[in-house]
Amino acid sequence: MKFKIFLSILLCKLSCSILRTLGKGGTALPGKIALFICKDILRYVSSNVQTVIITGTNGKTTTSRIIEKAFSESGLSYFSNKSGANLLSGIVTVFCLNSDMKGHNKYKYAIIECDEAAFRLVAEYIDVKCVLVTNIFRDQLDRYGEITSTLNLITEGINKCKDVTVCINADCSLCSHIYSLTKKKILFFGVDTSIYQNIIKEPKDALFCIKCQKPYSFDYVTYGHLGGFRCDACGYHRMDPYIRVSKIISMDENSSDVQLFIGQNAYDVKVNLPGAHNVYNAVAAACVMKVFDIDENIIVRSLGSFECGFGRMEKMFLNGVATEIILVKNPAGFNQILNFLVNIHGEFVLAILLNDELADGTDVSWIYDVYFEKLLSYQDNMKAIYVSGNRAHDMQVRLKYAGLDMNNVFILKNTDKLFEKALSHGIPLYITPTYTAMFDLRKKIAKKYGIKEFYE
Amino acid sequence: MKRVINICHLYPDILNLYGDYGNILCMQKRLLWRDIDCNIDDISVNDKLDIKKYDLYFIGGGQDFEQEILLNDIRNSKKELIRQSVEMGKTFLGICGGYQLLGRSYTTWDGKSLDFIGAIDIRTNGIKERMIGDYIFTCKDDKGEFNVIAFENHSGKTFLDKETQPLGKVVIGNGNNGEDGNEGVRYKNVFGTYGHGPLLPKNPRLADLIIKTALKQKYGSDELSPLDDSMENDAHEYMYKRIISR
Repeated sequence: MKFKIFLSILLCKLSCSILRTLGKGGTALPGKIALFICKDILRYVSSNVQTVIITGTNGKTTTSRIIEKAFSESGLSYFSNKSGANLLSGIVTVFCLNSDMKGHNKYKYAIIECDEAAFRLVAEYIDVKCVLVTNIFRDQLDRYGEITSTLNLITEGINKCKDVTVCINADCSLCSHIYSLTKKKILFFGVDTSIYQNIIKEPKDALFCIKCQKPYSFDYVTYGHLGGFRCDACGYHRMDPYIRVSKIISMDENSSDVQLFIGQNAYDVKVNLPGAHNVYNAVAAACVMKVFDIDENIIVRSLGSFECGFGRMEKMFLNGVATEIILVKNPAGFNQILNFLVNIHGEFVLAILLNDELADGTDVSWIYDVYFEKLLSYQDNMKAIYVSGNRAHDMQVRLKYAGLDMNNVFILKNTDKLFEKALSHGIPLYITPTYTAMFDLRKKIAKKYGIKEFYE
Repeated sequence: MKRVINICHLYPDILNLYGDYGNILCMQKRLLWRDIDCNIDDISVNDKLDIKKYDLYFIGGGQDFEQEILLNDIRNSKKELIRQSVEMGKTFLGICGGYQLLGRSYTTWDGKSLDFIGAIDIRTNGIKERMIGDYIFTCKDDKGEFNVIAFENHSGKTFLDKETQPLGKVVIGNGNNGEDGNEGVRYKNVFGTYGHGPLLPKNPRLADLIIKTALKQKYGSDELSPLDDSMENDAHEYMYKRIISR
């Protein structure tokens, strides 16, 4: 057995360094090799680590970065799967890389974002200390089938954990149902108030009570199906969160100021990324930090100073033009970005990059659940809209049927030309790529411009 | 006199899984661009359905979770009304779950049988695997045959009774059941298809065929002025070439 573990870790490390020398990412394949040699290698390389799993539809990456910030400020020794490889193989890779040849891990903590369907596989081997479920929205239904199956997969994972604390979004009626599906310790987080004055009209992913299938009533909605839900028929309702945002003090295109309660203690907190979804990311991260008894002052400081990068509202200057890359993956996320865009003061240029590779979702139907009609009354602010990606034509048609002025919408499939045109206006550029489009984009930016951060 | 088409969107809050709204939006815009008025009513669970009001019905696709809520409502109040409307020659577009729903029954993969609306003679059997992907099928209008580009994602295999006509033939993909080459159903003025989500925007010819069917039924004439569909056709052509070359 010892030899098997040794060989598994060795080949994982070796293949990874070879792949990286060759300029490949080396995130998933080394893990696959390790698993081939020893199918439960993850059990050994995680046995002396306290692991946090971050799962849910949206906000996994950003929330992980905020938690990392607090761990690092608290001087805790940790590693994470920063590359975003969040399936079993990618997680195996990162555990092996941070372990010695005997399977003893060098770090005390692991901050791991995990795909919703992969979590139950991971939970089989890792003794998870804390699970965060950010939210559940419709996402890549070509993969999951239906939204309730996502909930079931996550619950299955949670119930495999032994001694775990589960941080759950109280405002998501799908997530908070986990409370009655498990006996594990639960800590709720949430937002006590609506966030936007006029929220986007979007299809709700949970209109009917998950317990009795009667329609929900809402005291307030933050976005999507999130908010103060209750079912008048069976009494199922939002649980009072322990960690909660009680008030939105102010919001602009860079950040939000909110009042945060940790138990009875109130803090004025700056959330260092804009938009309602990042308010949720912040309060979710704070909930995990509390599970690890991180000093409350450090929690507050981390929320106000974290940086995310990697296409999550990542800011940079290209040819002197302020450019922001905002990854879009599903209707809930994209609708939040539209809420954000229409609150921008001043003129800007928008570039939408739509791909349909496996990682993007091969079905682009979801763009019709994004309410581009919201942009109609802000067209004076948008100097131009560029559409690109292999499904650019579908996006163009979507914008046409939204009723936008098509004299202002241009298809540019060539990324070089796209940059040339989009930057030529000399005003802020917002780029919303899908997953694989973002990788293509970043490669191009690195090659062409060299990335320079906007704030540092 | 200005023409008007009144659209009834059935169960828009439940059957809206994959951007189904795109079809309503497409029909609405294509009517308005031709100076034909268009009203859209959302009719869902517990809403009264007044069939005298509507010329065109749209039913989208949904998830199994909400099916029970839906079937109760259909059974209690809408089943007969929908069947009457179909027999009266009202135009229907049913896609994916909405298409299955117009049929007689659905047998789940583990053998449970559910009664559906029964407006058309089709039956669906659930299987465990899903049929997923871009696909192409043919369709006919007064000018002849044309291709429709769509995306299918269903675990139901639908079979037509002997007399019932399909909407078209599968060129690439599965269609109704992956066995007999049929796609969708065409009965009186009902169009049923597995081409889910926003089927119509990239298939303007099918969109106009449905609009014309509703106009003809209401006004006796289906005169429709041409539109500039170059963007729609670009999107259509691009996907046609991609799917064909796979």
